Amino acid sequence: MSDSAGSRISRRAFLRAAGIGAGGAALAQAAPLTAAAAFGGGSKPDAEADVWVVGTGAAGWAAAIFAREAGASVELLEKGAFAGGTTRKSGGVYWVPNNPVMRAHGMQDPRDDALRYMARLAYPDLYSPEAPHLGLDAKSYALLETFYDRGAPVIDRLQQLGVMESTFWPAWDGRPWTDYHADLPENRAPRGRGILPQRADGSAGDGADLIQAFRRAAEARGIPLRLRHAARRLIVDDSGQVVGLEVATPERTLRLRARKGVVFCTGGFAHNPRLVRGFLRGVTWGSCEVPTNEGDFVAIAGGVGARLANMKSAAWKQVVLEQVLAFSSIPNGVSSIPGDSSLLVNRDGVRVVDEKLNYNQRSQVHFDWDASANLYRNQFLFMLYDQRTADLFAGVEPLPPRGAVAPEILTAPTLAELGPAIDARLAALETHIPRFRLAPGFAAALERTVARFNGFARSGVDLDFHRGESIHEPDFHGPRREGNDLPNPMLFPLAEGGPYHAVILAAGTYGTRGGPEIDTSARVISVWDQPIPGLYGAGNCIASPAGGGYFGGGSQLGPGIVFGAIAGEHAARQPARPAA
Amino acid sequence: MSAGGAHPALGYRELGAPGAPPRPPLLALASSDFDLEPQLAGLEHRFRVLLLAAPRRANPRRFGLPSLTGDWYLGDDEAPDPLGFGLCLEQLERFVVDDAAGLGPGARPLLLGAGQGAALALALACCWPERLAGVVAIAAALPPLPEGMLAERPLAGLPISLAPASSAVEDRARAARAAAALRARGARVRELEPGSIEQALADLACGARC
Repeated sequence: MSDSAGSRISRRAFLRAAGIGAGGAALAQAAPLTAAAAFGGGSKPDAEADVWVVGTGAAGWAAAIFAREAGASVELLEKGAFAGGTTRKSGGVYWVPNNPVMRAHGMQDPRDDALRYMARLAYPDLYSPEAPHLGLDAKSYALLETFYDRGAPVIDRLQQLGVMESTFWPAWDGRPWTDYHADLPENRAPRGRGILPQRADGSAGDGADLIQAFRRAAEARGIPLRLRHAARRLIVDDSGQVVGLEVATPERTLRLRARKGVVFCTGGFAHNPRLVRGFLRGVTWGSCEVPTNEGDFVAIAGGVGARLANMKSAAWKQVVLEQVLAFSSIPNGVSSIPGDSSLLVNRDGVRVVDEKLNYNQRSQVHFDWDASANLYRNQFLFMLYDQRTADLFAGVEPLPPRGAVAPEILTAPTLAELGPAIDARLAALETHIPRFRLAPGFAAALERTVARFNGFARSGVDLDFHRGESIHEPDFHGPRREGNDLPNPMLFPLAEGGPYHAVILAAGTYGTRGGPEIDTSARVISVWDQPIPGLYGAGNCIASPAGGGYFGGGSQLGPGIVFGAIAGEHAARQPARPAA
Repeated sequence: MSAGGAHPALGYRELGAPGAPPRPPLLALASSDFDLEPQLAGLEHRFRVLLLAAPRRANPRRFGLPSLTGDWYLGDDEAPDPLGFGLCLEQLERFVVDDAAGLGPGARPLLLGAGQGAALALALACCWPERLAGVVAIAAALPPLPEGMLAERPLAGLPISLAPASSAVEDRARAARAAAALRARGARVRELEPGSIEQALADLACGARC
């Protein structure tokens, strides 16, 4: 892809400048360094702090600020060239049950129901409403309890400290956004758990605002930030206590002493192909995570015996295949499938999912394995739409703004000609993707699919996938579009005449959710089922307390901020270890 | 000449009626802070104006942004995400050198960029000066490019106009730094007053080469 003939842009040089590849080095060097080797015999640490926080996404800043507020000296380390991690490019929503914004609006979010809702989604294979711990193991259940119990106080405290005010995530109709599983009987608070930083003008901010608020608060508290500092391995004393870490800068290696603890908030492993292929439960193509997210903590914590969990899970998002091939950290995922007359079909020309489901649910249909045919039939799906949807939903990813030309959009004058256009593009992409072609009966099947879909549009009822029936779907779809006076605003017959358009979609992630397990104090747990003293984790670098559940928008940042705060505070309250 | 195997992914919108009569091409790169589209109105009579789509054109929570503005890469002006910057530069290279929009073989477009779009335009000019007619860069910083990334290509009198984002000292200083660096490479640099985008565009419209 890079450094090819005729190009004058060296991708390798940019990779080096971005600090990418340090993860590979860390994998080779994850075995810890002893304190005696690092700091003994007259070797002084290059720097000291009570608490070192690694990573500058939301979890990292929360950890640093809460550690500082608990009286510790703190420094932040960032592997990349800029601060903010994936949080900075995110929508910035944090999902926190029973949060202060809900309470201020008189909205109830009872503990028992919230725990049932989270437990059912986090561990659907275990959930049992009458069983102890709702069928979960005691530790997983305790993490969900902690999230509920500590979540609202953490958000309250951020407000009291002047770090940031929070506000509802507003849907297009002005109401608070709906949880993605609002239909479940366990959900007694379907709106308002997803909140955002509030800007000075009162409007709802985004991930960049969230980072800016944290950064200002950290600067006001004198918390130093070091960019281009990649954690390489831990430093442990004879008792197994983590007493520091070794980091690599572009110039040299530093050994940093931690008097109280080290908190890792280094993000997911989406840009470590070995971990992605080896652990995620489905085949994915690309990620929204920033390119420095190479799963460094998996190797670093593994070196001191951390126990891994939840490695199969991620926050899933459909991606435009051709964007993935161009940008390693994709600019946008496909949050919604825009259009009322648009549909998703697979290689057989049939629909496979309710197109209006939220991104996390919808994306998982790509993983379906046809055991009889030995085939991922849905590995790539094709969003088909007509000119009506192109015009009325212009600019909603993946549709280009009105009048714009986008290389990934395929256009044909008739539906019959769209299939060959898709096949030609799949063939053209074969240097990047495995061989994948439409089934021989695609055209005929598509004709039947469209006829059936159009019938559903006229009746208003999607008998196959119940499109438009889930409570959260209108939030993504937006208002009923002009000219659609049919019973279901999310369905409209595909036009009888062309042009028709298609775009190739694949599964992707916007945050892997596996890594070392933590306990309710955010301490990393060892394979011997004991906390590793001095080592903490929060955010996407650890096994998510939310398991495989995506409760609503913000299900990564919510637990990330809350457990980041818990980690920072707990670490700060440990006794300072004397120098060796 | 092909710019290599990077998969093309830049979208664009042509202002005015596409096609004849032939006009010199102008590629515009807006950013989330600078929507160039209003300033471009009318230029389509003089130029074939293509407004390139910033890859990250919408906040993921917002739906249906009508314009092509947005972010090209993450990070701060002084510390951009190097990989994101490099991948966008690679896309821009493909667009110009591989003629993604059918500008014609050997076409030498003018680049008009603002903010992040301007930084990319200047970086492309450093890589492919012979394939450009000139650059107008508004509120640009010349980003710290990786050592050895850019071939040392003399800019050989390439006309470049630079306008600071505002009259603030730091904005002027940044523009002056970019100007000095580009002059050192041999560009013919003209420093504009802040807010003189209209002046730069008027220069373009009358065909002046700075």
